[in-house]
Amino acid sequence: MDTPQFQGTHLFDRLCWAKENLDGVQSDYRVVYEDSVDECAKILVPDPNWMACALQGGILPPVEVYHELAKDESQPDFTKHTRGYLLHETQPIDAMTEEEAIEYLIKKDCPQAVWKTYNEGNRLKLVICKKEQLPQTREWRNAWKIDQDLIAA
Amino acid sequence: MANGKIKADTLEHSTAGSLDTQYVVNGSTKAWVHFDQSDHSADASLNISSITDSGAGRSDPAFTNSFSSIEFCAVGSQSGSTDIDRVLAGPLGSAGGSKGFIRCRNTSGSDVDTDNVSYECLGDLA
Repeated sequence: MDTPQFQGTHLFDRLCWAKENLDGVQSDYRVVYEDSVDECAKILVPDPNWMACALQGGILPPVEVYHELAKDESQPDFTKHTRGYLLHETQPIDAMTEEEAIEYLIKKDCPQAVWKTYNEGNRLKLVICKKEQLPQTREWRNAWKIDQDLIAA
Repeated sequence: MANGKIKADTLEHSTAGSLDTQYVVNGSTKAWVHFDQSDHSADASLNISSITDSGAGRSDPAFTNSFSSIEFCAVGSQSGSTDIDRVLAGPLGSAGGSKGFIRCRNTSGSDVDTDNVSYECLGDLA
Protein backbone atom coordinates (compact mmCIF):
# COMPACT_ATOMS: atom_id res chain seq x y z
CA MET A 1 0.00 0.00 0.00
CA ASP A 2 1.31 3.45 -0.88
CA THR A 3 1.61 6.03 1.86
CA PRO A 4 -0.44 9.17 1.25
CA GLN A 5 1.44 12.47 0.95
CA PHE A 6 1.63 13.25 4.65
CA GLN A 7 3.78 16.35 4.85
CA GLY A 8 1.64 18.94 6.68
CA THR A 9 -0.68 16.27 8.13
CA HIS A 10 -0.72 16.11 11.94
CA LEU A 11 1.55 13.27 13.07
CA PHE A 12 -1.21 11.82 15.26
CA ASP A 13 -3.49 11.56 12.22
CA ARG A 14 -0.73 9.72 10.35
CA LEU A 15 -0.40 7.24 13.24
CA CYS A 16 -4.15 6.64 13.16
CA TRP A 17 -3.91 5.97 9.40
CA ALA A 18 -1.02 3.56 9.98
CA LYS A 19 -2.87 1.69 12.72
CA GLU A 20 -5.81 1.18 10.40
CA ASN A 21 -3.83 0.24 7.29
CA LEU A 22 -0.57 -1.42 8.35
CA ASP A 23 0.08 -4.66 10.20
CA GLY A 24 2.26 -4.33 13.28
CA VAL A 25 5.83 -5.64 13.07
CA GLN A 26 7.22 -7.26 16.23
CA SER A 27 10.96 -6.72 16.11
CA ASP A 28 13.35 -9.21 17.67
CA TYR A 29 15.88 -6.45 18.31
CA ARG A 30 16.39 -5.08 21.81
CA VAL A 31 18.55 -2.16 22.93
CA VAL A 32 20.18 -2.66 26.31
CA TYR A 33 21.68 0.43 27.92
CA GLU A 34 22.93 1.74 31.23
CA ASP A 35 22.40 5.41 32.07
CA SER A 36 23.37 5.21 35.75
CA VAL A 37 25.91 3.11 37.59
CA ASP A 38 23.45 2.85 40.47
CA GLU A 39 20.65 1.35 38.40
CA CYS A 40 20.16 -1.88 36.53
CA ALA A 41 20.45 -2.08 32.75
CA LYS A 42 17.40 -0.84 30.86
CA ILE A 43 15.96 -2.59 27.82
CA LEU A 44 14.26 -0.66 25.05
CA VAL A 45 11.61 -2.64 23.17
CA PRO A 46 10.34 -1.23 19.83
CA ASP A 47 6.59 -0.83 19.46
CA PRO A 48 5.14 -2.94 16.60
CA ASN A 49 2.96 -0.14 15.19
CA TRP A 50 5.89 2.27 15.26
CA MET A 51 8.11 -0.30 13.53
CA ALA A 52 5.46 -0.73 10.82
CA CYS A 53 5.53 3.05 10.25
CA ALA A 54 9.33 3.04 10.06
CA LEU A 55 9.41 0.21 7.51
CA GLN A 56 6.58 1.73 5.45
CA GLY A 57 8.16 5.19 5.06
CA GLY A 58 6.55 8.58 4.54
CA ILE A 59 5.02 8.69 8.04
CA LEU A 60 7.63 9.51 10.69
CA PRO A 61 9.49 12.82 10.90
CA PRO A 62 13.31 12.86 10.77
CA VAL A 63 14.82 12.04 14.17
CA GLU A 64 16.45 15.48 14.21
CA VAL A 65 12.99 16.94 14.82
CA TYR A 66 12.88 15.15 18.18
CA HIS A 67 16.33 16.51 18.99
CA GLU A 68 15.07 20.04 18.34
CA LEU A 69 12.15 19.44 20.72
CA ALA A 70 14.57 17.98 23.28
CA LYS A 71 16.64 21.16 23.03
CA ASP A 72 13.54 23.19 23.86
CA GLU A 73 12.75 20.91 26.80
CA SER A 74 16.23 21.40 28.22
CA GLN A 75 15.79 25.16 28.51
CA PRO A 76 15.38 26.27 32.14
CA ASP A 77 12.26 28.28 31.34
CA PHE A 78 10.57 25.47 29.33
CA THR A 79 6.92 25.03 30.18
CA LYS A 80 5.30 23.98 26.91
CA HIS A 81 6.30 23.03 23.36
CA THR A 82 5.88 25.87 20.89
CA ARG A 83 7.58 24.12 17.95
CA GLY A 84 5.38 21.05 17.75
CA TYR A 85 4.69 22.01 14.13
CA LEU A 86 8.10 20.53 13.31
CA LEU A 87 6.59 17.07 13.87
CA HIS A 88 3.82 17.73 11.38
CA GLU A 89 5.34 20.00 8.74
CA THR A 90 8.80 18.53 8.22
CA GLN A 91 9.10 16.22 5.21
CA PRO A 92 8.59 12.64 6.53
CA ILE A 93 11.50 10.27 6.06
CA ASP A 94 11.59 7.43 3.56
CA ALA A 95 11.26 3.74 4.43
CA MET A 96 13.98 2.37 6.68
CA THR A 97 15.36 -1.10 7.12
CA GLU A 98 14.74 -2.69 10.50
CA GLU A 99 18.35 -1.97 11.47
CA GLU A 100 18.06 1.69 10.45
CA ALA A 101 14.82 1.92 12.41
CA ILE A 102 16.56 0.63 15.54
CA GLU A 103 19.30 3.24 15.10
CA TYR A 104 16.60 5.93 14.73
CA LEU A 105 14.85 4.65 17.85
CA ILE A 106 18.07 4.74 19.87
CA LYS A 107 18.53 8.38 18.89
CA LYS A 108 14.92 9.14 19.75
CA ASP A 109 14.23 7.20 22.95
CA CYS A 110 17.59 6.52 24.64
CA PRO A 111 19.14 9.34 26.67
CA GLN A 112 21.50 11.39 24.51
CA ALA A 113 24.18 11.06 27.17
CA VAL A 114 24.20 7.33 26.47
CA TRP A 115 24.11 7.06 22.67
CA LYS A 116 26.30 10.08 21.92
CA THR A 117 29.16 8.60 23.95
CA TYR A 118 28.43 4.89 23.55
CA ASN A 119 31.95 4.19 22.29
CA GLU A 120 33.79 6.41 24.76
CA GLY A 121 35.20 5.43 28.14
CA ASN A 122 36.17 1.98 29.32
CA ARG A 123 32.70 0.71 30.08
CA LEU A 124 30.18 -0.67 27.61
CA LYS A 125 26.90 1.17 28.11
CA LEU A 126 24.81 0.33 25.05
CA VAL A 127 24.31 -2.96 23.23
CA ILE A 128 21.92 -3.96 20.44
CA CYS A 129 20.97 -7.61 20.65
CA LYS A 130 18.23 -10.08 19.76
CA LYS A 131 15.63 -10.87 22.40
CA GLU A 132 16.79 -14.49 22.66
CA GLN A 133 20.18 -13.17 23.83
CA LEU A 134 18.60 -11.69 26.96
CA PRO A 135 18.26 -13.83 30.11
CA GLN A 136 15.36 -16.21 29.61
CA THR A 137 13.84 -15.56 33.03
CA ARG A 138 13.33 -12.30 34.94
CA GLU A 139 15.17 -13.58 38.02
CA TRP A 140 17.25 -10.85 39.72
CA ARG A 141 16.01 -8.34 37.10
CA ASN A 142 17.07 -5.36 39.21
CA ALA A 143 20.68 -6.59 39.22
CA TRP A 144 21.07 -7.01 35.47
CA LYS A 145 24.09 -5.25 33.98
CA ILE A 146 25.71 -5.32 30.55
CA ASP A 147 28.35 -8.04 30.36
CA GLN A 148 31.59 -6.05 30.09
CA ASP A 149 33.33 -9.08 28.60
CA LEU A 150 31.52 -8.14 25.38
CA ILE A 151 34.18 -5.44 24.89
CA ALA A 152 36.75 -8.14 24.29
CA ALA A 153 34.41 -10.18 22.11
CA MET B 1 -16.84 8.42 1.36
CA ALA B 2 -13.33 6.92 1.58
CA ASN B 3 -10.85 9.15 3.43
CA GLY B 4 -13.55 11.82 3.65
CA LYS B 5 -13.63 14.59 6.23
CA ILE B 6 -16.54 15.97 8.17
CA LYS B 7 -15.96 19.39 9.69
CA ALA B 8 -18.27 20.34 12.52
CA ASP B 9 -18.04 22.40 15.67
CA THR B 10 -21.17 20.91 17.21
CA LEU B 11 -22.94 17.55 17.33
CA GLU B 12 -26.67 17.82 18.02
CA HIS B 13 -28.99 15.05 19.20
CA SER B 14 -32.66 15.22 18.31
CA THR B 15 -33.77 15.39 21.94
CA ALA B 16 -30.75 15.17 24.26
CA GLY B 17 -29.07 18.44 23.38
CA SER B 18 -25.82 19.30 21.64
CA LEU B 19 -22.13 18.72 22.20
CA ASP B 20 -19.20 20.88 21.12
CA THR B 21 -16.77 18.68 19.15
CA GLN B 22 -13.94 20.26 21.17
CA TYR B 23 -15.02 17.86 23.94
CA VAL B 24 -14.29 14.95 21.63
CA VAL B 25 -10.96 16.33 20.42
CA ASN B 26 -9.72 17.32 23.87
CA GLY B 27 -11.20 14.39 25.77
CA SER B 28 -9.92 11.51 23.65
CA THR B 29 -7.05 9.25 24.65
CA LYS B 30 -3.95 10.36 22.74
CA ALA B 31 -1.65 7.44 23.57
CA TRP B 32 -2.25 3.94 24.94
CA VAL B 33 -0.59 0.57 25.17
CA HIS B 34 -1.28 -2.92 26.53
CA PHE B 35 1.67 -5.20 27.32
CA ASP B 36 3.15 -7.80 29.67
CA GLN B 37 6.10 -6.87 31.86
CA SER B 38 7.55 -10.33 31.31
CA ASP B 39 8.79 -9.21 27.87
CA HIS B 40 7.54 -5.61 27.32
CA SER B 41 6.31 -6.39 23.80
CA ALA B 42 3.22 -4.30 23.09
CA ASP B 43 0.14 -6.38 22.27
CA ALA B 44 -1.75 -3.32 21.05
CA SER B 45 -1.01 0.40 21.12
CA LEU B 46 -1.41 3.84 19.60
CA ASN B 47 1.18 6.65 19.49
CA ILE B 48 3.87 4.61 21.27
CA SER B 49 7.38 4.30 19.79
CA SER B 50 8.93 2.03 22.41
CA ILE B 51 8.60 0.71 25.94
CA THR B 52 11.68 0.74 28.12
CA ASP B 53 11.95 -2.06 30.67
CA SER B 54 13.55 -0.14 33.55
CA GLY B 55 13.55 -3.00 36.05
CA ALA B 56 11.11 -5.30 37.80
CA GLY B 57 7.64 -3.78 37.64
CA ARG B 58 8.97 -0.60 36.02
CA SER B 59 8.10 0.40 32.45
CA ASP B 60 8.57 3.67 30.56
CA PRO B 61 6.55 4.11 27.34
CA ALA B 62 7.80 6.75 24.85
CA PHE B 63 5.44 8.63 22.55
CA THR B 64 5.77 9.11 18.80
CA ASN B 65 3.80 12.36 18.91
CA SER B 66 4.94 14.01 22.15
CA PHE B 67 2.57 15.81 24.46
CA SER B 68 2.89 19.59 24.51
CA SER B 69 4.15 19.58 28.08
CA ILE B 70 4.66 17.37 31.08
CA GLU B 71 1.17 18.31 32.23
CA PHE B 72 -0.74 15.42 30.69
CA CYS B 73 -2.90 12.89 32.47
CA ALA B 74 -1.74 9.27 32.62
CA VAL B 75 -3.73 6.29 33.87
CA GLY B 76 -2.47 2.75 34.46
CA SER B 77 -3.91 -0.59 35.46
CA GLN B 78 -3.01 -4.27 35.59
CA SER B 79 -4.93 -7.52 35.88
CA GLY B 80 -2.14 -10.05 35.95
CA SER B 81 -1.54 -10.38 39.68
CA THR B 82 -3.53 -10.17 42.90
CA ASP B 83 -0.35 -9.25 44.79
CA ILE B 84 -0.18 -5.81 43.18
CA ASP B 85 -2.03 -3.27 45.28
CA ARG B 86 -0.83 -0.06 43.61
CA VAL B 87 -0.24 0.95 40.00
CA LEU B 88 1.50 4.30 39.63
CA ALA B 89 1.38 6.11 36.27
CA GLY B 90 2.40 9.52 35.07
CA PRO B 91 4.69 11.62 32.89
CA LEU B 92 8.38 10.86 33.24
CA GLY B 93 9.74 13.86 35.11
CA SER B 94 12.84 14.58 33.10
CA ALA B 95 11.47 14.04 29.60
CA GLY B 96 9.17 16.97 28.81
CA GLY B 97 6.08 15.41 27.26
CA SER B 98 7.85 12.64 25.40
CA LYS B 99 7.83 9.78 27.89
CA GLY B 100 5.70 8.36 30.65
CA PHE B 101 6.08 5.76 33.36
CA ILE B 102 4.11 2.97 34.98
CA ARG B 103 5.07 1.14 38.18
CA CYS B 104 3.38 -1.99 39.53
CA ARG B 105 3.87 -2.23 43.30
CA ASN B 106 3.04 -5.08 45.66
CA THR B 107 1.75 -4.93 49.20
CA SER B 108 5.33 -4.81 50.53
CA GLY B 109 6.06 -1.66 48.55
CA SER B 110 8.31 -3.35 46.00
CA ASP B 111 7.93 -2.98 42.25
CA VAL B 112 7.26 -6.40 40.72
CA ASP B 113 6.52 -7.66 37.22
CA THR B 114 2.98 -8.41 36.21
CA ASP B 115 1.04 -9.12 33.02
CA ASN B 116 -1.87 -7.42 31.29
CA VAL B 117 -0.59 -3.93 32.01
CA SER B 118 -2.52 -1.04 30.47
CA TYR B 119 -1.43 2.57 30.19
CA GLU B 120 -3.22 5.50 28.60
CA CYS B 121 -2.70 9.23 28.40
CA LEU B 122 -4.95 12.22 27.81
CA GLY B 123 -3.83 15.76 27.17
CA ASP B 124 -2.68 18.21 24.52
CA LEU B 125 -0.28 16.95 21.86
CA ALA B 126 2.71 18.98 20.66
